[in-house]
This record gives sequence, C-alpha cells and structure tokens, in this order.
Amino acid sequence: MEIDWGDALQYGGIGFLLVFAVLAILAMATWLVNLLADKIGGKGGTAENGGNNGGE
Amino acid sequence: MDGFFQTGFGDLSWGNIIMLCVGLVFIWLAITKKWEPYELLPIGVGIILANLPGTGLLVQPSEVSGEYGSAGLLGTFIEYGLLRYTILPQLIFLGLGAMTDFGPLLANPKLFLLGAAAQVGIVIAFLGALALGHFGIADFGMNEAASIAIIGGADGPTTIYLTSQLAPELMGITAVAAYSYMAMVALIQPPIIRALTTKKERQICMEAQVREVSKRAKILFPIICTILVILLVPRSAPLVGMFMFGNLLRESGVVERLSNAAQNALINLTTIILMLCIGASMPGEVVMRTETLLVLGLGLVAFACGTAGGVLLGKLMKWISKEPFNPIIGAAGVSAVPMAARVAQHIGQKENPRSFLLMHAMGPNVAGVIGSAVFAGALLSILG
Repeated sequence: MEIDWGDALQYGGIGFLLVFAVLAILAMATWLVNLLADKIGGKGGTAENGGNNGGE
Repeated sequence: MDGFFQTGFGDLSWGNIIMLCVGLVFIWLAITKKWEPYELLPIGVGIILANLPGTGLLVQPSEVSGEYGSAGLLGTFIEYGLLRYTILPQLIFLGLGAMTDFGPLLANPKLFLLGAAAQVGIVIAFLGALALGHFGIADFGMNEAASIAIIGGADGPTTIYLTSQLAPELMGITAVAAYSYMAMVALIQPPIIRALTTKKERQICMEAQVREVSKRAKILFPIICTILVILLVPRSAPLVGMFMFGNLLRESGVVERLSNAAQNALINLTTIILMLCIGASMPGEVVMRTETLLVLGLGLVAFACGTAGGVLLGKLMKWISKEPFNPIIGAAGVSAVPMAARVAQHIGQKENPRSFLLMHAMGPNVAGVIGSAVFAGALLSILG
C-alpha cells in the first residue's frame, strides 16, 4: 500500500502536539480556577483526597 | 429434514470453532481468574453467539423498499449503538465521568502534562501500522493505523468509538486488545518503569497528602473543560462532553439520584450491551487473519511506548520540580483507570514502604483519559 509519509508524520505530530497543547491549556485553566475559587470566599467545602475512580 | 428443520452443525467453519473456544476461554478467564470480568464475560458470550451459525442475531436492520426489515438483537445494537450513531461508548463515558474524582489532578495541574506525554504511544503505533502497510505485510491504511494506534490510549470506550467510525472491521479486535492490555497493566508496565528509572528515583517519597481542592473548583472544572476542549477539538465532544457531564452530575451535589444512576444503572446496562456487541463483532471469518496478530502486537507497542513516554516526562519533571517528585507516576498517564495508578503505587511502595503514590498517580491517570479522548477527536477531524 502506498503511504504518504509526509501526511502520516503530520497527522501523528499534529495529533500529539494538539493533545499536549489542550492539556497544557487545561492545566493553566485549572490553576486559575483554583486561584479564583480560593480567593472568592475561601474553600467552599473540601473534597476528599480519596478517589472513587472506577475502571473503564 | 432440509426445509423443515436444520441444525447449525453443517454451517460451522473452522474459524467459528476456534472462536467458540476463544469465547469459552474469555468466560473462563473472567470467572476463574477474575480478569476484567465485567468486560470479558459479556465479550465471551458475544463471541459465542456470533459464531453459532444460523441464529439471525447478527442480522442488521436494512431498508427494504423503504421499510425496515427484520433484524437480530445484536445486529440492531451494533448498527445503531456503534456503527451508525456510536451511542454506546458515549454513554459509557457519561458513567465514567460520574465515577471519576478529578481532585488529585486539580490539586496538582502540572500532572496534566504526564497524561499528554503518555499518548506518544499512539503516534508510534500509528507510524508502525503504516510501515507494515507500506512494506506490504498488512493491508493497513491511515484509518486502520489510527484505529490500531488508539489502543495505546488504554481506554476501551475511546478505542471502540474511534474504530467504529474509521475501521469498523477492526472494532472487535482493537477493543479486546485495549481491554486485555488494561487487564495486563501490572505485567506490562513494571519492566518498562524499572528499565527507565533508577532505584533511587523509584524510592522518592512524594508529599503524604494531596492538596485539598475546593468544591467550587471541582464544579467549575467540568464546565470549563467542556467548553475549552470542545472549542479546541470539536470532534472530541461526544466523549469529552459526556465525560464532563457525568462528572458535573457527581460534583454538583444536587442531583444525587442522577449521579447514582450514571455510576451504576446506566454504566452497567451500557457495559452489558456494548461488550456483547464487541464480542459479536468477532465472527471467525473476520478474526482469523494475520492482521489480528499484527493488531495485537502493535497495540502492545503502543501501550509500552505510552508508558515509557509518561515515565520519561516524569523524569524531566523530577529534575525541574522543587518538591520531591517520583517519575514512576508518569506511567499512569496511559489512563487504564485505576489499574495503572495502582501499579505506580505498588512499585513505589515495594521500593520504599513509606512511599504512598496512589493519589499522586491518579492525577496523570485521569488526565490520560482526557488526553486519549482529545487524540481520538483530533484523528477523527483529520481522517473521519
């Protein structure tokens, strides 16, 4: 099968960089949210550290 | 007897017989070894039903003269739940969102990056699958390569969602590979973690307590995440939108019944139907091909490279971080919630009994779920 390696590298690279960019933006947004949430009226109830994360 | 009563024996192929054995092995693994039983038990039954001839269960609805003809139960679920509308993986994500606590991730936002780094396995497997296609070893094009590579996201519903849209013929085998490798995370990850870290690094104790996160921040996160991620990668909306909606049900604290329904009834019901469909999408003639072994091999490569990517970024973060940082939590970025986080905890505690990494590892673990859903959305935007 004929593969266009230029396209392939571009797709893989774009996908990976996009994931990095999106999660970096989310990290910054989360930091800001934490900051704002703490400033506006302190801690509105604390969350347990224990997770209830279920399997997929 | 022909025309009056016909048994299925005459129509059994060798492929069917082998797949019936595979189905029985899955059921055995689920019951006796408790190996991903919620997935493998219904998948095993689905495989058996799909490989018994003449049942009509797999007949998909088709328009005949403008009207829908008869269809089998499994065929109907596959057609509407997976191939045409991909409803089932999205409902699973809703339930998973309601079961997920983002607290450890919100307490330490830089852990998001570990969830991103662990997605490198997807890129490597994508290029690997294309190389096999290029050299004529397998008939993999871009769509097939993307569907195989997403196994590296170690996220069953994401794998099913992407594959059902890009390469439906691979859906059964990629889903089984994803769930199998998730079940084998305790076997796959430790050698890679040990190879990439020193004993001293593995012994590092991180802070005993994860910082407390306000309830307000926990409520705001799913709302902000939904808007930001979907604006950036619109095609990730079906997964990310449902995941965050489920999480908002949980964190809002005002719809306990809905949250409980999503965490229990909805996800359980959807799991039954989805896993039956996955099993049913593996008739002998589809699975008994060389490509199946290649898909399993590439999935393993994707998983291993994802683990390595997370650990390597973890090492970099250890050098940069002012506080003690154990790089092995990076391995949890492959998602496989919560097994990968438990592996990090187990290795850390084995090396240093005072080390407690579980909550720290949960951060990259849930970030990996978002990361793989975003990657799937990106691949759909490009290839779908």
